[in-house]
Amino acid sequence: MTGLLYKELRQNRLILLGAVLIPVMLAFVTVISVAGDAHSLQNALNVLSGNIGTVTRLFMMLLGMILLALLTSIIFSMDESKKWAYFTASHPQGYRGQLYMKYVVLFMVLGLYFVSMYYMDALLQMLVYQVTGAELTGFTNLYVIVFFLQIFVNAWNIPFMVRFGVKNSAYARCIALLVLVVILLVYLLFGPLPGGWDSYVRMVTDFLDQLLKGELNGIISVIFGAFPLAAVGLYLLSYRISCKLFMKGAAEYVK
Amino acid sequence: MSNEKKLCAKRLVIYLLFAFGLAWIPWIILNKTVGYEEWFTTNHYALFAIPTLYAPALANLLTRLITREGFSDMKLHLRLKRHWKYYLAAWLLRPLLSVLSIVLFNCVYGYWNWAEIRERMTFAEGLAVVLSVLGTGPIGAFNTIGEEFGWRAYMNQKMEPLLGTVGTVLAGGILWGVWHAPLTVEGHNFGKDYPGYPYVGILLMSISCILSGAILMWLTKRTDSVYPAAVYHSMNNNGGAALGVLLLVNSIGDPETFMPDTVQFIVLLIPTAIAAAITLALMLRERKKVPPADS
Repeated sequence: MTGLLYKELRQNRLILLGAVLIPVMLAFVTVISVAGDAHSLQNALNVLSGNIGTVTRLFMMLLGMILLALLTSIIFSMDESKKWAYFTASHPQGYRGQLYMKYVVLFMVLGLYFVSMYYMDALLQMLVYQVTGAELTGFTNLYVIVFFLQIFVNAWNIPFMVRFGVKNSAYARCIALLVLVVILLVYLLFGPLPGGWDSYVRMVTDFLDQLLKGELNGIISVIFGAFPLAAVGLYLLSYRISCKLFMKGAAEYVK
Repeated sequence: MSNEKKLCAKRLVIYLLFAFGLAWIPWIILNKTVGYEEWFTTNHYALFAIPTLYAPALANLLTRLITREGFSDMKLHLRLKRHWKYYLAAWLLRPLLSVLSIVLFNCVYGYWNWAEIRERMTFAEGLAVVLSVLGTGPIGAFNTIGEEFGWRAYMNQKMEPLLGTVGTVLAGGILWGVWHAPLTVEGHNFGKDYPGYPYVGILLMSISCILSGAILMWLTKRTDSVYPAAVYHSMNNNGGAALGVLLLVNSIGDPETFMPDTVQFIVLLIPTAIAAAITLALMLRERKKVPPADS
């Protein structure tokens, strides 16, 4: 297992480095982007502590998520080779060992990204306070949600990448989503619906009404509270599914 | 004393100098210049405050470098698959002990009143808190590994051949507790409003560290990895230790800001003390099986 981990770390060292550097780069770009009209660092940091700054930071966070998604897909594309797949299958740890280490390294990448974001946010808060005396709202809770969201998204994506390859997995995921939507539509159109459309429309409006009145706060907080556990649970399940799909996927690799 | 033990002692002293120096010097300067609340509870001085969290880890690396010990046996292997049960224990033990502590506290002081507990929050609110603590608690391990990589992955290794397992738990716990002293003096753990301030606070912190230290040492030794200890420590710092507060009643005052007195604090420590005694007994049993190389 140590050898496989070493191989993964060595193979993905630039991705690991990227996970640390992306938040650093984004923090730098955030300051630069608001500094355009500000003419001085102090003015720029003043802008950063306002609403424009908050929106810019949120936008940069989304950009970071996209960049990280691109990086994480490389972890799986690097070993898309029939010969390598059959070699790992004959290895004492088997393809399960390799997949396990890929999941571990991906978790590491997401973790490093989170830690880097957390510290960059803290340093940005310090910088704003020291230069302008203003308080910058911390985004730590948001980063925690983003971290688990990325685990959740990867838990869904990886089995597709393992089964269909990284390139084709995007199509496969779209088709899978489409199939789910079609099944839902068919059920809504022809399924045994008690009361028909009206009752469903009423249900949705009632739900929105309760939501706006704050009557569903308890349930929403339970959902938010359970989300991290559900994401990690799905990640583990995703590993099991990927193990089942690996050899079928390997047989279809182009190289 | 054999040469190996002398070397261990030398390395231990160097490690402790680094661990205390790298944390205490910035802490004392920050406490005196900007005040504890300002640097500890905000990110206004993050650049100076964050590295102190990693002082024991840095001390580990520097000691290895200076004494030419090398970087083997760093306890950085994950060993998740083989030792998942210990990871599970690291994750769940702290919240469980917290709940048991408050149940015991309520029983001893006659505060156990289920109807009153239910009045404080709805079932959904309580469940949300429990789930979010369990879900997000381990994330803080990236911070707590800074301490665990020093105390458990280095200090214990050097101390055990010199003082034995019991001695390491006791001396290691006291040192770990005293290491927190600049924070304890500023009211970090127990506030400032208690009899015997600040010495009683430092003493209670040391007792608490001895007990937690035994559990953390057991986790590290059983898995030969520092990560379960970091997870346990993270659960302790990020809500796991406070989960029992859900079972406190309004009769004691505001449960969220409830600060136990010295005797109450000792009562609250009883479940942790039992867990520490069990883990210590397990370590001693394990040690009997493997005779020490240098006897």
